[in-house]
Amino acid sequence: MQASERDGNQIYHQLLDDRQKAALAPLMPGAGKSKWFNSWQISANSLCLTNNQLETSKTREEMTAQAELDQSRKPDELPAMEVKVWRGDDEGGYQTFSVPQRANQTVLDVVTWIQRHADPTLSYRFACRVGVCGSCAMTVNGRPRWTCRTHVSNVVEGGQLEIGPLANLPVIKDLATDMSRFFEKWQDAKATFTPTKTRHDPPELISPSDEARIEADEAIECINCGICLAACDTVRWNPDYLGPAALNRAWTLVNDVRDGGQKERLLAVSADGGCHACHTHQSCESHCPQGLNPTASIAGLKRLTMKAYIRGELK
Amino acid sequence: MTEIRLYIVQRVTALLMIPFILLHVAVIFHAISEKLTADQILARTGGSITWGLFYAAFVVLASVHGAIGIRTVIREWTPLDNAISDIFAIAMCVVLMILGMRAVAAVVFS
Repeated sequence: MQASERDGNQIYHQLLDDRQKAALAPLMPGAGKSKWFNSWQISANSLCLTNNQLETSKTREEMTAQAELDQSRKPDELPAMEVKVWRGDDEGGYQTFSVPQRANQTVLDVVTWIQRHADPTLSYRFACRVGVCGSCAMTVNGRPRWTCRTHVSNVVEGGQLEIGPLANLPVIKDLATDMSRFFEKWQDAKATFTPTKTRHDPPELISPSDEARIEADEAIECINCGICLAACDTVRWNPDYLGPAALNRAWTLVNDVRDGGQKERLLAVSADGGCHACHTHQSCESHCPQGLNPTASIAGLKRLTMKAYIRGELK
Repeated sequence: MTEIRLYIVQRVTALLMIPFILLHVAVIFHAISEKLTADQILARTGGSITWGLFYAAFVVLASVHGAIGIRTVIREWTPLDNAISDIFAIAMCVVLMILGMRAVAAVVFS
């Protein structure tokens, strides 16, 4: 055994408590004699480094106290929640589950727990779990939310949660909606970039202080979660309405000097079901998890299309 | 481009109606504060071309503005076809205008 491995092994035995050793034991085939053991030793050395770094900011007593606190938060010792979950398609209904509460538990954690421990046939959609992909939006206690970033403690009412699919979209099964209509609206709004240059042209120089760029910057960062569409009363009343997300994207492109599809876009957003159908309820703005304001973007489109019509550019 | 035309017409009529509404409300307050009777009011408005033009314009603006709003309500809150909502809105505009003009005539030519 090399000296560095021996040192690491000693430090490992000093720092790891019995619980951690027990957890790592299954990873230790060959009892230190095979190449597997050597690779495990490297992992153990890395682990020791991590523990040493932690100890510079936390004393061993503090770490023990934290461990005891974590132990005291065993799920079995917290009151269970009553969680109603939508099952079936559009004609389905709610099914009630009893789910253990945990510290720092998200709504997505609750749905995952149900699928893994109560009913593996539960269907739902998620990917990143960190608020980037926009896949996990659901209706939680009547409001559309991104479930991976929604803490249960912030939305639970009287120990109860009601989790359903997003509104204004067809339900495929349980909590998974068919997002086709949502993305088709983006196509209908011509909310896709139309390039005007080739790779051989020099890149467009755009100042961050440019007025149009500032307008666009305020409306980008949409994660396509569909929450604004689900929150919009106008979409509910008028299924042909393009909706906040598609119009918001169109507004960012309208303010993009590199884009060459402005005329078609203005025609698309001025048609029946376009920006003029918006009632400025601002539900999209109040529910957007990214803090965007699609209503303001739609208001911008209304102003722009009105000016274009007066100038005779829209006929 | 029907939608953008109607959008502009509805906003413009709303804008133009602001002074009409303010003056109309002021007239009502004045009539109430002076405790004027209907006969006294009609005696003042009868034969007045100014009041006739004022309320005739007000009726036109309100009829157009309201009909466009009704069209949207029908489209969003009823299962009727869009063509039916258009016909209903035009009919509503005509009816409001006829009723309003009859009232103006009664006030001016009384």
